[in-house]
Amino acid sequence: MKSKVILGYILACLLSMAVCVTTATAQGLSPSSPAPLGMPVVTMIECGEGYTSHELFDMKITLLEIVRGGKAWDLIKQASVSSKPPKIGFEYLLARIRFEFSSRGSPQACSHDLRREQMTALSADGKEYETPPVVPPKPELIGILHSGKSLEGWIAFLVLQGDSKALMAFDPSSGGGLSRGRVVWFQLY
Amino acid sequence: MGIPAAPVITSVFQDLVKTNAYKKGMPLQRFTFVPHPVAGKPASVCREYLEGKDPLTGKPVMQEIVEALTKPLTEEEKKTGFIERPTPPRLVGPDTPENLHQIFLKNGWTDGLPIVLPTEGKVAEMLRGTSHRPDEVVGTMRPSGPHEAWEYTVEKVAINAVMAGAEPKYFPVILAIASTGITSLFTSTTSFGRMVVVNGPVRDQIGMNSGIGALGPFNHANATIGRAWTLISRNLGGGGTPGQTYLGSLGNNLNYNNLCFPEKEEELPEGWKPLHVQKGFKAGESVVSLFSGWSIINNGGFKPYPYHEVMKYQSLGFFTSGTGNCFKSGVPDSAAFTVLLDPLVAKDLKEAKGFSTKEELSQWLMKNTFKTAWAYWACRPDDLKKAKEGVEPYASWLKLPEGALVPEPVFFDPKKPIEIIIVGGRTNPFWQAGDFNYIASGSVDKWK
Repeated sequence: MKSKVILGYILACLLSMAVCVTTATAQGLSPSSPAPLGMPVVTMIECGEGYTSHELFDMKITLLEIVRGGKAWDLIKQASVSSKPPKIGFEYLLARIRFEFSSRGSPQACSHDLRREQMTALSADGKEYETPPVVPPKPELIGILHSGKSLEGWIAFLVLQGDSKALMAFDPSSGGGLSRGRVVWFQLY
Repeated sequence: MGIPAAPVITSVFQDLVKTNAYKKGMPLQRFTFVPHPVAGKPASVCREYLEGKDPLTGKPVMQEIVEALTKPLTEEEKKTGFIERPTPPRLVGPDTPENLHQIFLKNGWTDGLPIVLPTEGKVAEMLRGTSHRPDEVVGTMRPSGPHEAWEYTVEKVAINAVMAGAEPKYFPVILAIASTGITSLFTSTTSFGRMVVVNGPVRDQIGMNSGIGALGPFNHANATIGRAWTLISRNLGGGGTPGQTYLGSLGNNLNYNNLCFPEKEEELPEGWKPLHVQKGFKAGESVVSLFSGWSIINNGGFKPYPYHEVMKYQSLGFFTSGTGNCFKSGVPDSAAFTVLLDPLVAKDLKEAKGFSTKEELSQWLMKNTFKTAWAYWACRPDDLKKAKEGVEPYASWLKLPEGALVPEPVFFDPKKPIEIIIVGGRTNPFWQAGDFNYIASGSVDKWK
C-alpha cells in the first residue's frame, strides 16, 4: 500500500559546514545587518569547557554614543597627554558601549573578561583597522562581567577619514579565557 | 603578524580545523595532515609521518609544508572579509514515510534507531507544550571547546523532541536541557556519557519514573526525554559524526538516553535536600540537572557492610577513568564521583550511620578517601619531585610501602563535591555509583 506523503523538516545541516541559525539576518548578528546606535543586541555567551563545567549567559550589548574627528581627539587628549594625534588620512572614533550580563541557569559561577582586543573596527568591506595606542576617556570599557552585572565605558578606534560605513565587531572569544560566543556587529555611524 | 605559518594537523581533526578556518574568514587556508594519533608514538614514528604522505591529499608531507610556506597565494586564497553561511531549507520531501526514514538515517540525523517523522503537524503539536515562540533562540551548542557553536530555536528543539518520540507535555523539560547548551555527545578521544536528573513537580506531572527500574527502559518520559538530548546534540549541536565531530574511541552506550531519571524526592530521609535545592533552586521549582562522566557500577549493600565504607573503596576505582588526568603531568588529578542511592540505603545511612544530610555523607567520603602510595605518586609527579628533594610530608610518604594509603584526600576540589542522588524502588538496598560530575542546571518552569 502506498503511504501518504509526509513533509519532513530539515532539522540541521546537510554538511557540517552549513549553519543552523534561523535568525542570521537579525540585527547585529551579521556584518550585513549591523545593529544601529541605541539598538541592543542580545547574544549568548558560553562558559566552561563542556565536561566539568558549562554555562550559558545572555549578554546584552548597546552602542550608546559615537564621537569622531576633532571632538574625539579632544577627549583623547584630555584623557592622556601622551596620546598622539591620528595618522594622516585617519581620525579617531570613540564609542561608548554598555554590556549587561546574566546567567541563563545555574551555577552562575562564570564571568566574562571583557578585553580591548574583543572589539575591532572594520571598513564596510571587512578590512580591519589597527587598534590605536591611546587611552580612551574614563570610564574605559574594560573589566570583569559577573552574572547580573553591567559595564559601561569608552573605547577608541582609528578609522579612515570619510569612512561613513565603518563597523564594529565584538568577538567574545578573543583573548583567551573560558567564555566564548558568536561575533556581533554594530554600525559605527 | 606577517610571518608565514604552515599548520600540521593529525588527520582526524580535518573537519575541526577547516571549520575554524572558515569561521575566521580563511576557508582556503593551507593545511598539511599527518596520520593520527601522534600521542604516545615514539619520535621515529613521528619522523616517518613527516617523511611520508599526507593521508588526505596523498602528497609528500614535507613538500606540502614547504609549498604552504613558499608558494604564492592564489587569488581565491587571498580573499578575506566576511563569510556568511547559507541557511539550509526548512523542509525536506514530500516523499513516502519509508523514503523519509531512509533520508534521516543516511544523513546521520538519528541515533540509529527508528524515529517519529517530524511532520509539520507533529512539530506544531509539540510546540503547544510551551508558551515560547518557535523562533526564540534556546541556546548554543558545540561538540567541544574548539568547535564552532551552533544556535537553535524552540522549533528546532521541537523537531528533535518529535523525532525522539516525546509527548508535548515533556517539551519544557527538553527545552530546559537544550537551554544549558551542553552537548550529550562531547567529543574527545575518551567516550563521555551524560546523566539527566529531573527534580520538582514536573516529575509527577509528566509521569516520570523514579521508582523500580527508573534507570531502565520502562518509562516513556524517562526514555524519550533522554533520547531527545542526544538527537539535539547531533542535529543542533554540530556533533555526533564518528571520525569528524565525535572521536570517542569506544563510544558510550549511555548516550542513547543519557541516564535520564527523576530523583525520588518523596523518599529522601528527613534533612536530606533534593538535588535542585542543593543547587540553589526552590523546592517547588522544576529543574533539570546535567552530569558528565563515563561509567556506572552497581553495588549490593548487604549488612554487615557499612555502606559508606564500601563507597569509599568504589570511588577509588574511578581514579584512572575518563580523561586519565591522573597520569598527565601538570594536570590536576581531578576525580569525580556520584552515588545513586536506593531509598533503603539512604535511610540506613541516615538512621544507622548518622549522616543527617547529603552534604555530611559527601564530605565524609571526600575527607576519608585515600589512594595507595603507588597511585598517589603516579598521579602527583610534582609531589614526587618534592618528596625526593626531602620536602615534608611528601618525603615521609615516599617511605610508605606501595600498597599503603597516603593520607591526602583523592577528592580535594570543593567545587566538585561528591554528589548523592536518591532513586529506586526499595526492592533491596542497592546503589549505583559512577565517575560523574555535576555540570549545570536549567529551569523547566522557564520553558512552560
